[in-house]
Amino acid sequence: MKSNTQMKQLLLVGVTAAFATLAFLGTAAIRIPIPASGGYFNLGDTFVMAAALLYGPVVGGLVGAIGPAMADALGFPQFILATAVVKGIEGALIGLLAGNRTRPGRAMIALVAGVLVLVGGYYVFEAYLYPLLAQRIPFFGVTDAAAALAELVPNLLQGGISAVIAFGIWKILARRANR
Amino acid sequence: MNPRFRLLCLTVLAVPVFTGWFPFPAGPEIVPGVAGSTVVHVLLVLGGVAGICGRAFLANATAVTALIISPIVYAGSLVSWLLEMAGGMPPGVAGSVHGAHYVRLALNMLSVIPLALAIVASIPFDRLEQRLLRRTEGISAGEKYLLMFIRVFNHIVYFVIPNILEVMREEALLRMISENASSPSTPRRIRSWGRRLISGMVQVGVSGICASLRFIPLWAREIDDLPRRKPKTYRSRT
Repeated sequence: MKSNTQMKQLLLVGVTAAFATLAFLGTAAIRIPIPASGGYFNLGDTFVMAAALLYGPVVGGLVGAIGPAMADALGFPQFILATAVVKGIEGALIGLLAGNRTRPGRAMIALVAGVLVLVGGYYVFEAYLYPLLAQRIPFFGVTDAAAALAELVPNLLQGGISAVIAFGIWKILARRANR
Repeated sequence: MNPRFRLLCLTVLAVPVFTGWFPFPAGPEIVPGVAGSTVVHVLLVLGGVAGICGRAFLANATAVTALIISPIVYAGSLVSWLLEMAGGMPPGVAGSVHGAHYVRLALNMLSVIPLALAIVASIPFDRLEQRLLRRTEGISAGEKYLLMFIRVFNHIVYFVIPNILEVMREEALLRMISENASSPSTPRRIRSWGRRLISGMVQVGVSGICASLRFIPLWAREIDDLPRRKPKTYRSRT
């Protein structure tokens, strides 16, 4: 019985590691800079969203917190904190809203909520939390309210495209799993 | 050099890079907006990586860094220039093409990426896996999870991604997506191109996920079967 539990945990660790690595590579491979904030546009969110839809909130949250943050370590270390928190919450929320036996409508609602968390979360971090942190630690002095505002549209676009791709992936893989 | 000592040296070098705390004062500017100390620091980091990991490693890491930096810096400058031409961004803001933003970004990445690659290369993943598998006294649950993580990471980086790139090249996936890119762009054609791009990305994503998850049940069974470390037994002195 104990071994069965550990086997399940090993499977979960394996799946989390796989999606985190894919999210890391997806984030690091395609980077289009956003001049106003110094951040960048990427498609790593696709794997965070797909993981959350397919495996639930725990895997989604862990993948969101680990994979994209690893990519930020390559060149954009200031954003590691915001990325880990925002994408962790995004993955967990999508997994929670989607539930166990996800229907397309529910998956779409979960993805929309995830995109809103992504856009809103980065805005809160860049407009309020980073300037506040920068007063004590100059390292975080990379953004302000104007830059955060300018990043709303690229983030919305990033989240929207990632959500469409993640929905396509979920539809194919969920159909295969049901067979 | 001992791997642990090497990792320690690289971590010491990485502290200023990843925390923004520089050991020396900013000093005079070499070009407007870029302090001399920043350039000195980059040279110090690159020299450190060459000294610790060898010149061949530094050459490879610098080549990878250049590949990553070029699109970001050039595309960023281009986007800034386009925004400025459209009147959307006054000169002097963070990402303005007139500012030193992209020079600083390039310098920052020139120190961060080789260091991060050196740190990852200094962790002997294969030896770690071999050592865990060879242990006679068994391994703990945490070590089993670590073993699983290392296996999956290595499998994706060294097998899945190169295979997907090979399949994309052989099946001319990118050409299929951009088939009509050069023809006159009516809204209908643009929509069809967009749909094809998304479906191509879904296809790549599904094949990446399936290839990554393929061996996980097998590895989970194999790692689960490894002997578990027994708790230490203490003999009473009384």
